Amino acid sequence: MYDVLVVGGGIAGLRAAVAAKGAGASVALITQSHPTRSYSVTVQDGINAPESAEGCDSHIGETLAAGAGLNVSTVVTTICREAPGLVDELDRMGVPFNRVGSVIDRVGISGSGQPRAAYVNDITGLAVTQTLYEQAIGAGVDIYEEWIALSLIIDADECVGVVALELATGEVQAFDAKGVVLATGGPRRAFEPSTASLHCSGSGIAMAYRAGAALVDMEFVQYYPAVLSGTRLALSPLLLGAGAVVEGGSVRLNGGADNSRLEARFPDTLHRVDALSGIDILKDPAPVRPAMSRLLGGIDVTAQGESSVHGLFAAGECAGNGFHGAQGLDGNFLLVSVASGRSAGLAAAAHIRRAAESTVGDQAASAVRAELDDALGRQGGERLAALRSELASLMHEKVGESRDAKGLNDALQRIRAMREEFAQLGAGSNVRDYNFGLVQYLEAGSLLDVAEAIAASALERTESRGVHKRTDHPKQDDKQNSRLQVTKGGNGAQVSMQTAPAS
Amino acid sequence: MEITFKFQRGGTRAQPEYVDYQVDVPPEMTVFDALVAVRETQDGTLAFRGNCSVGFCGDCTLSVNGAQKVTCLVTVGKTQKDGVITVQPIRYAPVEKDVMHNVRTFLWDKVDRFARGVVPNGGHPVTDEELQPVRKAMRCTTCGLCDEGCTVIDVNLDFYGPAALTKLYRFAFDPRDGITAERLREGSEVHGIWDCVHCWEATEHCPFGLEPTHLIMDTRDRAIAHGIKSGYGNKMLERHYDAFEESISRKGWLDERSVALQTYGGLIKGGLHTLPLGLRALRKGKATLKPHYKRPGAEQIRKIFDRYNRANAGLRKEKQR
Repeated sequence: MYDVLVVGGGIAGLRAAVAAKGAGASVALITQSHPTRSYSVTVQDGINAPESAEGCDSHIGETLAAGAGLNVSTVVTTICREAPGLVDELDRMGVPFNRVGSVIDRVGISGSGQPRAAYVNDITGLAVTQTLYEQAIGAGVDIYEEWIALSLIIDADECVGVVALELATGEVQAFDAKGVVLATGGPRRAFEPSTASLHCSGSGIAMAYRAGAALVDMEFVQYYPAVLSGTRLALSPLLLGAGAVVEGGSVRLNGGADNSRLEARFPDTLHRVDALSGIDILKDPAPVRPAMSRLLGGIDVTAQGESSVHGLFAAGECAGNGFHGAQGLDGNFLLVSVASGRSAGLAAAAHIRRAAESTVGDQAASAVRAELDDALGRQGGERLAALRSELASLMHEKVGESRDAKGLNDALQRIRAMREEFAQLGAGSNVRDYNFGLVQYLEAGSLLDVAEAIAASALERTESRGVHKRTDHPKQDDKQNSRLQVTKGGNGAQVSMQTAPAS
Repeated sequence: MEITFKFQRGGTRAQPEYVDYQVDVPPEMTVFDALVAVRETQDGTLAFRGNCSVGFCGDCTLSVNGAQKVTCLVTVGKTQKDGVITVQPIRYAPVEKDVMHNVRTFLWDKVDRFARGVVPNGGHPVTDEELQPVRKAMRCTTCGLCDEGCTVIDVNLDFYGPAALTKLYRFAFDPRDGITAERLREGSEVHGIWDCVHCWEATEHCPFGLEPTHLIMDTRDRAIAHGIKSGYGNKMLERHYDAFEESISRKGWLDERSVALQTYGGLIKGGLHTLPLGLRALRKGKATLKPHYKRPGAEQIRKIFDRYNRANAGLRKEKQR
C-alpha cells in the first residue's frame, strides 16, 4: 500500500507527487504516457506570478474580472499570493526561467498586459515538466508509466485506491492507497478542433463522477483563438506578447530587424510551425483558428484539492477549484496546475484513512477484469471511431463557443443515444498486449460521461457569462451568481445550483 | 491521397513481415495522425506510441520509408513514395511488439540514471546567460533519434547514448546544482561520456538542432575542468593522461618514452615494465637513445594550456572545495 497514489504524470500530477513525497509519504504515480510525454509538455504559456504587492493585487483583480463573479475568491487570493513563491521554488528545483540580469523576467500576456508571466522561452511546459520529473526521480517516486487508471476503489464512502490496466500486458491490478490524487487533465478530445493530445480523454473526471464525486463549473469550455490550422498546435500567448498579431484568421509576426531575437526566443515555435504547415512565420502569416483548449471546471474540490469523496483529491485541469470562474486568463493555467498539484499532494499526504484495512481492492479489480473481458469480445474499430468523431463534432457545433437551448437539448439527446450505441461496442479484438482498441473504447466511455455533464450544465445556465455564450440568453443574469454542480444520477447527469453564491 | 501503409508486424529487421493498410488522407496530414486514423478505424491492435501530435512529447519516433523520424512532424505527402509508406521500428532498440520498441531499456533507464533533480547549492544569483545551456538542453523531447543514429549504440546497447548524456549536460551546466562533480564522475564511468566516438551522427539526427555530440564534448570539458579524467577510476589510465598532457604542454609534442614510463608508474617501476619492449624497439630501430627535445614553437602550445587553465580556474577551485 502506498500513502499517496497520484494518477496523471503531467505538471499537476508530478507536483503533487513531489509535494507528498517531500512530506514524508510513500508515493506512486500512475500515468498513461511517460510523464515527459504528457500534454503538459506542449504548453507554451507563461506562469503569472508578479513579484510586487501592487502587481499581485492587479493579478487578483483581473482574474476575478475575467471569472465574472464565479471565481472562488479565497482560492484566487491564496494562489495569486503564493505565485511568486511557487515560481521561485520551481526555479530552485531547476526550471531555467528567462531572466533580466539575475532577476526572473516577467512579460504581459493577459488582461491589461501587466508584466507578470514568468516563462522559459517558448517551452515553459516542457521545462517545468522535465524539472518536476527530475525532482520525482530524485525523491524516489515510484512511476508506473503506460498504466491506465480505470476506476476508483471505494470502501464505505472512502476512496482507498485505484484499479489500473497495464498497457503492455493487459493485466488489471488494484493499487491500495491512503489517499488518491487525480491529475488526469482535461477532456479535450470531446471536441474537434481542439489542442488535444491523443490521451486527453478526461478519464479522471469520469472516474470521480462515476464514483459519486460532484463535478462543478462544467459549462465553461474555453477556446484558444490562435491554433495553427489543420493542427493541434496552440501558438504561444508569449508570441502574441512579443508583437504577433492575430487578424483575418492568421497570425503575423512583425519582427522586422528583431528577427534574430525572435528566433532565439521562439525556436521551437518556428520549427514546429514550419514542420506542420511549411510556413516561416517570420516571413509569412500563419493561418489559425479557434480550438477548444480547456475545460475550466472539473471535479469539485476545496482549495486544498479535497473532493466530495473522502480520500479523493484532484489537481490541475481535471479539478474545479474555482480559481478561473467563468473564464481563464493566459498565464493562469500553468500557475493553477503547479499550485493545485502542490496543495493536493500535501493534503493527500496529511490525510488519514478511515479504513485501516480494506479488502475491496481485489474485488474491484475482479469486477473490472470481467467488464474488460466482455468489452474485448465486442465490436469496436470503425463504429467506435465514428462515434467518437461524431461526438467531437457535435460538442464543437452545439456545445462549443456558441450555444442555445435547442442545440444543447439536441446534443444531450444525441449523447444519451450514443451511450446506448456505445454499450454495444467494445475493443474490437481480444488481444491483451498493447490493445489500443481497448484504450479507444475506454476513452470513449470517459468522453461520453464528461460530454454529458458539460452539455447538461450548459443547458442549465440560462445566461451568458465568461466563455459560456448562450445566443438565446445573451446577457449575464445576476440571479445566476452561483456555481453549478453535476452529479451522476440513475438517468444521467443531475445538475444543481449551489445554494451560496460562488464568492 | 490514397496511401498504403506497409506496417511491420512480426518478422525481423532483415526479414520483416508486413501488413498493408490503405487509407485516404490529405497530403498535409502528418504521418502520425494518419497512423492513428488507421488504428482507430481499421485495427486497434496496431502497436505504436505517440501522444501530443505537435512535436513536443517525443513519443512517436519511428522509421518511415527507411528514414527515422518524429512522425508527428512529417507529412504524409512528403514522406510517401509512389503512395507507399513503410513503417518499421527504429533500428537499434529491442522491439516489443510491431514497430514499438522497448523505450524503457532503450531510453528511460539511461536517462533516469542522470535525471536526479537539482540539489541546490545555495550559491549566488544566477544570470540569464549562465542558464542558456540548461534552456538549450531542456528543448530535448527525448525522442531518441540521437540514440537511434548513434554508432556506439549500434555496437553496444549499454552505452548511455546522447539522449541520456544530454540530461547529464543539463545538470553539468546548471550553476544552481550542488552535486555537479558527483554527476560528472558518474557520467565518466564505463558507457559514459568518454565512450562517445564523436562521429557527429547524434548531431546529424537531432530533429530539434540540439547538437547532442557537441553537448557531450562540452560535458567532457566540464569533467576535465573538475579534474575528472576518462580513466573510469583506473589509476594507470589517469597517469597516462597526465603524462600525455605534461609532455605536450612542456615539450609541444609527444615524448613517447616519458609517457610510457610515467604510465607504468615512474622511472623505476615503469622502467622495469617497459624494458623488454624498449630493447626490442631499439634493436629494430623503432626507438632511439637520443634525448627528446622541445619542438620549435612549444611556447605557443604552452600558452594554449595556460589560457585553458585560467578559463577553468574557477571550476578547479570549486573542485578543490
